[in-house]
Parts: sequence; C-alpha cells; structure tokens
Amino acid sequence: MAEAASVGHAHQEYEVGLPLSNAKLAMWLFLATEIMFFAALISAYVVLRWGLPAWPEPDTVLKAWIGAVNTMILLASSATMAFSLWSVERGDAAKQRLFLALTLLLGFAFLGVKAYEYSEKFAHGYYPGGPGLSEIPSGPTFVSCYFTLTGFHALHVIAGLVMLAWLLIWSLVRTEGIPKQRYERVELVGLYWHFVDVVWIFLFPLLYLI
Amino acid sequence: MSTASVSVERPHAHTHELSFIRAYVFSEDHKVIGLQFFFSGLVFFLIGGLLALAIRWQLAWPWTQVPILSQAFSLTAGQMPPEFYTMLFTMHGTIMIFFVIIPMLNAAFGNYLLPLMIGARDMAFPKLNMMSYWVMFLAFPVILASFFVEGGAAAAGWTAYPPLASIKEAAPGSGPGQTLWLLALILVGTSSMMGSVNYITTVIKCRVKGMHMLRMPLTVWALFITAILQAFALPVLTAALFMQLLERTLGMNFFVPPGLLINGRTIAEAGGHPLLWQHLFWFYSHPAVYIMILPAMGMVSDIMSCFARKPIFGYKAMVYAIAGIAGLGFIVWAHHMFVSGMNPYLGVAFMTATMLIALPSGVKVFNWLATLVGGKIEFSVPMLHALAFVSLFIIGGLSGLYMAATPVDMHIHDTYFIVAHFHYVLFGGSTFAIFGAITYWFPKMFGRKMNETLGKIHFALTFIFFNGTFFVMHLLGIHGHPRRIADPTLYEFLHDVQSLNVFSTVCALALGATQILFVINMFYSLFFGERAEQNPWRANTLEWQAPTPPPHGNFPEPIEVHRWPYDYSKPGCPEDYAPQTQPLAAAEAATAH
Repeated sequence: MAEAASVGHAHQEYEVGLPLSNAKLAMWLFLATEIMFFAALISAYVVLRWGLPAWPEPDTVLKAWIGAVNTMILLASSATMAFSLWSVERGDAAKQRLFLALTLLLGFAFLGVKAYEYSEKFAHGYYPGGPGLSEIPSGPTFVSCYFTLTGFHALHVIAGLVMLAWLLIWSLVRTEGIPKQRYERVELVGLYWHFVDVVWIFLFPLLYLI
Repeated sequence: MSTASVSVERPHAHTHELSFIRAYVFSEDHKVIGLQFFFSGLVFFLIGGLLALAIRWQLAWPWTQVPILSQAFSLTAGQMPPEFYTMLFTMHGTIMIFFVIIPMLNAAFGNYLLPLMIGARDMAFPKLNMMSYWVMFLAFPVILASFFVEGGAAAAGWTAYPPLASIKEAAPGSGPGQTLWLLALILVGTSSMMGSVNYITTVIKCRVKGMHMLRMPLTVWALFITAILQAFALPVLTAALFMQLLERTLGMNFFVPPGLLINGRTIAEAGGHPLLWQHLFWFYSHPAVYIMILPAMGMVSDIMSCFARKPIFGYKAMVYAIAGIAGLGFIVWAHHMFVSGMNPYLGVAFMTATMLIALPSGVKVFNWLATLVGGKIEFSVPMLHALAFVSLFIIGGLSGLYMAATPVDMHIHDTYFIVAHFHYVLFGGSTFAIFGAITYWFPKMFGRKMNETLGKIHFALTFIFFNGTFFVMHLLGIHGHPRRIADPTLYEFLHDVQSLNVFSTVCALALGATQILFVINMFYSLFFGERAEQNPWRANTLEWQAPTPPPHGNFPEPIEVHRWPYDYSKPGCPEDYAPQTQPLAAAEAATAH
C-alpha cells in the first residue's frame, strides 16, 4: 500500500484484496498482457505456416544447434537470476554481484548468438525483400515470421538487460549491495527475466525443431 | 476510528504545494488525469462529429459542395473525391472509437471515479497513470498529422482490412496515412494497457476498509471487468498492428495473399492470409464493443438507482451479467466475418456464442426495468439520459440478435442495417451514457451545477434527432443500401429510398447543431453555474462523501464503509438515502448487505 498511502495519511485502513504487493500484482498482470501479445504472434505463425503448401525443413535454413545453444544460454541465465535473488535474500553482496553479472553476461551472449544468426541470414539474402528468398520454400512469409518472432523476443531480452544492468549498478554503488528489504525489486526483474526465457522455450521448438 | 489523532495528521497530507506544471500538466492526481482525458475526448468528439456530418452530406446530396470542408481542403470544384469519402468514414470510426468513447468512459470517468468510489487516495501507481495519458497524448499529433500527409489519412475503413490497407498502391489513403494510423493506434493501445493494469491493481488492493468486492458500486465493477477485458484482448490487436506496420514498412508478408493483382502488378511472391488479420483484429475489436458499453452500463445502473430512489434490482445478477458478457465477448469475434469466406461450420459456433450474450444482456435490461418499478423517479437530466440509454440499448441489442443469425446476416451484412445497429449501441448506448455521466458527476468534478432547463432541451432534441438520423438506416439497410459507398444515387434500386438518406442527413445536421447547446451549457456552468453542495443528488457512493471538488488525496478524514451503495428509501433510515460511510442502525442490521 506504500504508493497509495503516500498521498494520504497513516490512519486509513484498507481491505486486504490479495496477499501480494501492488508491484508484484501489477507485474503478473503485465506478464499476462505480454503472454497475450506473444500468443497472437505465435498463433499467426501457426496459421500462416500450416496454411502454406511448403515450408523450410527443420535444420535447413535455421540451424538447430544455434537455437539449442541459445536455449542453453537462456536456461543458464534463469538459473543465475534465481541465484542472485537468493543472494540478495541472504544479504550476500559479493555473490549477488557475481550472479547478476553472470546473468547479464549470459543475456549478452544470447544476443551475440542471435546477431551472428541474423548476419548469416542477411549474408544469404534471407530477409524481407532479399535476393535469397526464392531459394527457400515460402520464403517471404518464412523470413517475416522468423524475424518478427525472434525480433520481438530479442527486444524483450534487451529490456531485461537494461533492468539487470540497473540492478547490478545499484548493487555495486552500495558497499553492502542491494538491501534485503528491497528483495522484491530483484524478484520482479527475475519474474520478467524468466518470462522472456519461457517465451524462448516456445519459440525454439516451433521455429527450429519442427 | 480515532478521530483525535487523525486531525493531528491531517495538515501533513495536503500542505505541500505543487507547481502549476506538476499540478495540472504532468499531474499524478487521478482526478486531473481524468480531466485531461475528458477534455481531449471532447475535442476529438467534435472532430469525429464533423467528419460524420460530411459523410451524411455526401450521402444526401452526392458531389455537391460541402460547406466549409470544400474550402478547407480545397477540393476540386467543391466536390469530394470518392477516396476522400472513404477517408471520412474511416477516420470517423477510428476517432469515435479509439479517441472518444473508449477514453471517455474508461480513461476519463474511469480515472476520475475509480479511486474515489472505492475510497482510495489515488490509483495504485500514480506515475504509471500519468504516463498513460502522455502516451495517449503522443497519439494525438500522429492521428491529426495523418490528415495532411500525401494521399490523406487512412481510407481502408476503421477495420484496416488487408490487402487494401497493406499495399501502398491499393488506395491513396494506404500510403503514409495508413502508417500513421497504425502508429497512433499502437500508442493508444499502450496507453490503455497501462491504464488497465493500474485499474485492476487499484480495485484489488486499494479498497478502503469495509469496501468488500460485493459492496462496490456497479460503475466500479464494470470498470474493473472492462480493465480485465482490455488487458487480455488489447495485446492481440497490438501484435496485429505491428505485423501490418512491418508488412508496410519493412516489406514483410503476413496478410497479402499470393497472386494478388493490384494496379497491374501481380504480387506473386507473397504467401500471407487476409483472414488472419480479420481474426486478430476482431479478437480485440469485438471485446472492444464491450469495453465501450460495459462501463456505460455500470454508470447507468448507479444513476438509475439514485434517481429512482430505490436499490438496484438484482445487484449480484448485475455483477455476474457484466462478467458473463465480458467472458462470452472473447468467443464471438468471428460473427463479424460470416461473409468473409471463413468455414461456415465455424460460423455456427460463433452464432451460438453470440446469441448467448443476449442472456446476460437481457438480465441487465430486466434489472434496470425492475429497478424503476415502484420507484419515486426524478426525471433529472442524468436520469433522462440513463433512461434513453436503456431504451436505445434494447433496440440496438435486438438488432444485434438479428445479425447474430448467420442466414440473416448474409442478407444484411455490410448494409446500413449494420450501421444503424452499432450507432444504436454506440451513440444511443455509450454516448447517451457519457452525457448522463457528465451531467451526473459535473457538480462533483467542477463544484458547479449544470443548467437543468438547457440540459433537458438538449436531451430532448438529441433523443429526437438521434432517432431521426439512425432509425431510418434500418429501413435503408433492409432495402439493401450498402455501407461505405460514396454515391447511393448510382444504383437504380436505391432511388426509391434516397429521400430517407436526405431525411437522415437533415436530422444529423440538427443533431450536430443541438450539441452546441451542450457545449454552451457545459462551459457556461463551468465558470458561472450555481455552486454545488457536496452531495446534490443525495447519492450513496463514496465520491459524494468527499469534498467538492475533491482535494488531492480525496478524503480529508479516514473513512470506513458500512453498507452497499444502494440503500435508497430504506426503512429505518432517517433519510431516503444512506451513504456507504453511514454506520448501520440497530434496526437495519438484520437486512444489511
């Protein structure tokens, strides 16, 4: 109730709606809207792909191993994110910096792999309006789906990295790190980061494996 | 309540002075933000209304000089070209839906009323609330600029169906105008999404002590459920808008089908699906219909109960009906697509789901009528608008049932019958409710009363001319008059009914002129109206227990809710109303809600 009480006075009592803080409830609601956003993109992909007579075979245009490496990277980053939360809870400044930095690094690694993959596609002319589209079945629709799905996911990764960088700086500027009482802020960033991870878990098989 | 210690705390809450910019421009106060949405909505209501009058002019007297408009846009020989006409109805629909009705009901009144009615100091996230207005504000120059770019504003209908909207060569308005249209809608959507997360959190977490969920006024219930609708439906539209934007700007391909021939060019390399856009678009835009009517239903319920001096009939049924309409609203979208070439078996499923909506809607209508029975009805201006809402909603709702039946829809689809139907719901329903809400909450918002006589004249003329304008459209539609054609006189079978078009236009011009009365009444009352007391309507909800106009932080003293908001004419109470803050007397404890 911190936010609402700040413009009022201490004596007002409120109903207990849900045993969650305002911020956490809002984060879950925000993630629900994000789920609907990606659900729309993914279902558009499903409709377009299975409505077309031909589509690139798995592991031809998109290399499954690249997707697999990125999946491992993101899964590892979710683990380090959970560890950073755990270290904030324990008030361990050194560990929280280590794990936040690791999460940040893994996020950048994911984007690096993605950038390598994108540049490969561009080199072959596999981009909207590109010269290589006639080489692949349903080329224009395929690259549109691929770049839109992974592009919006990558934008979400970048947003997550901004939040992680902010947490890391916060942890570094205070000698004792992020205070235990502010645990929830790390938790909220963690929720978002895990969500970005889960979206990728859906995109990887849909785009690379089937 | 320990009142002694509270009075010590009191000055602490309100003494800090805010600069003009922080208090009125970048304000975090939900009431100021509500008023910002309110006045922006009024400006766009004027623009959207003028576009409508231009549409009507062309339909009654095709290709004749339109007063003012012809000069303003220096149209050749004073005529509007056909593509200008398609731009008019596209932008009329877009502006009225996304810039007037949704923001007026949900953002203007939603922001102003929601925290007040649940006894909160403000929204759960005041800064997010401020941002939701300023993101919306970014959309204003974008949509207005689109009128002046090459080719003019978007002209593919407010539904922006591809390939017409996706391919630049398809229509003059499908150039930069359509791109700006998409950008503006993405901004509006982002603003609504911020608002909905905020509203849901506020209702769940910031209710004052005693304000159980089932003691909330129906306005709050409606806004709450609408916010849930928005949170889950809007992201789908946002995704679709982004896809069309990428298709238009980066040459991606989602909606343009293969082998399409446009202006002598075959688009062979595409593999998209135009129906996909329709599914994604209506997945949001059908729930949007309920986003535009549910808050109106909530407000009308509260207004009716107050002026019938009777408890609302079937309060819980009303809540469940709102939830039922919202839930069913998610699974009826394809009834907009019966003639699109979609699988007819799918049509049957959507027809059934659509007809089911008549049940909760019927429950609401029945409850409104039962609320009136035996009441001491005061025909005040807000009440008249509320009564008009119910009667016109019945007409609009019943014609909706016609269209839900696939075989009937095959005949009347894309005719003026559809135009009549949705104007009965959106003008007869939502807009009358907005007038009702303005006249009802005006004394609280601005501390002054609106002129009652002028208000009644405005109401009567609006009601008459509204029906004059739109009722004849049913007849035109049954006669087969297609919508979205610039010149009905070209079709021989429409010659017999052209006089109806003229009648409709004359009424529309009168309807437009009548609104000048409202503007005069509002702005005169804003500055010179009679001062309003705290609770001029003797209403029960919490906003009337706050000072007029409510200060920053809303309630100077801590409050506690002891009853539901509908204790009107209750036996055992000293007055014919009992504010929610009034503790229960011993005599009434047995029947308490």
